[in-house]
Amino acid sequence: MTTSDKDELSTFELDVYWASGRPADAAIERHVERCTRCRAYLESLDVGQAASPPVVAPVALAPSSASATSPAARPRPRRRWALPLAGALALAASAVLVARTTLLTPHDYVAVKGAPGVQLLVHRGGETRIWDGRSPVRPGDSLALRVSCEGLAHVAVAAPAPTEWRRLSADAACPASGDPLPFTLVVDDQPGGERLAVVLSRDALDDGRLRRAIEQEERTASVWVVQLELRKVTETDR
Amino acid sequence: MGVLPHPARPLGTFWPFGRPGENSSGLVAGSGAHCRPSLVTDFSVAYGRFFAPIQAKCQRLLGRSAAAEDVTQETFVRLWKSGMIEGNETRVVMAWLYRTCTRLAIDVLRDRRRMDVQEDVAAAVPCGLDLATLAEARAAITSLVGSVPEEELAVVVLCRVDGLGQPDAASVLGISERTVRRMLSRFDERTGSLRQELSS
Repeated sequence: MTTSDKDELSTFELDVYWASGRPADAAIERHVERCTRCRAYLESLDVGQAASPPVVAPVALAPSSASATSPAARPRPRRRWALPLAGALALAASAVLVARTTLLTPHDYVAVKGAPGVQLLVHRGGETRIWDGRSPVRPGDSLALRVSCEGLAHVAVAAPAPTEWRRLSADAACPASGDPLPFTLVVDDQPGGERLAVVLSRDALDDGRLRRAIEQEERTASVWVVQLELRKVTETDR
Repeated sequence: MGVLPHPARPLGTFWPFGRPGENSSGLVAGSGAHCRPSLVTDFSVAYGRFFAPIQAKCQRLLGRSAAAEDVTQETFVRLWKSGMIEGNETRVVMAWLYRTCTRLAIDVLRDRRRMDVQEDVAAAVPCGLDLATLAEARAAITSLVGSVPEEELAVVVLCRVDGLGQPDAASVLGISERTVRRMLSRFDERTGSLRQELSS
């Protein structure tokens, strides 16, 4: 669509123009120069961008120096991270670290800024990556979890046992500042995928309450459940 | 099946990530000597480019509400999952985002019919969008959201709330301009009927 013969610009045209980095376009520039509404709209996008929730893009990194592996010396993120959780979507990806969650499911929880989030770290061959939500894990992979509890005090991790969800970790206090949970999980070589449930809660949950929360994928102001489903590639799959 | 807890493993080995660095756009990206470019960065760039317009679009329909923020975030989660970013022009990605967040917003309106979308209309709108039309469309959509097909609502949202021309709306939704015109007419008939009912 050209704008040379237009007296008005639609939001879509302006959005594309703005998202393209305002490329040289004489017609649009002339229009914006004399149109206070369109100018104000573009300025509002600038403001919106500046105020947008952070996206953390923790790309795959080479192992740091030995000193960085020491808990005391390891780098701290400058901002808290959180992961968007979309309905039943277990976990999004390293690419999508947005400091808000989605609440399109009909739960009665009204989100506040900085909703809970979970991040899975996969350690393999000396390199650690944030799980991208799709890649399969392999036997021997070590998994760690980071959670952003956002006011919830407790965290528990469970996996499905033959008949019911079973707690893998004792109920623990939510770690501060995005620290990993104080244990790791090692993927075994049995075929089949892996499932995990991370349950953040205001109060400590007994086993029965924990199971119910997981089964209902509860997301309320007092309990927040995230289920992770990981494909697994074993030797027999290759 | 099995993931086995290993409490003894030193957690420090899980922290080789570089310190995030914040750039002027407010995005945080990996930085430092250990970073290497990846798709993640591409998504971050896309997020920076598209977030504000999509948030503004959601707010035009849903007001400055938590629902608008939720729809915005859900739209970007879907963008990431779709793999749309790679190799597509800004206009194509924007059209996809428009289509996706329009449908998500309609879903939210259907789920939360009591939500008052009359409040807090987005402050700044381009000249191509008539404010009276916008307010009227929002009111009509809210009233009729439960009884109008999604595609028809999507056309109304794009043309009357977002101010797209019929060719652009058709392009965004992947339908013909004729269908756009027909749906707008049908929606106008519905609102006319609604007005008559209310007045009588």
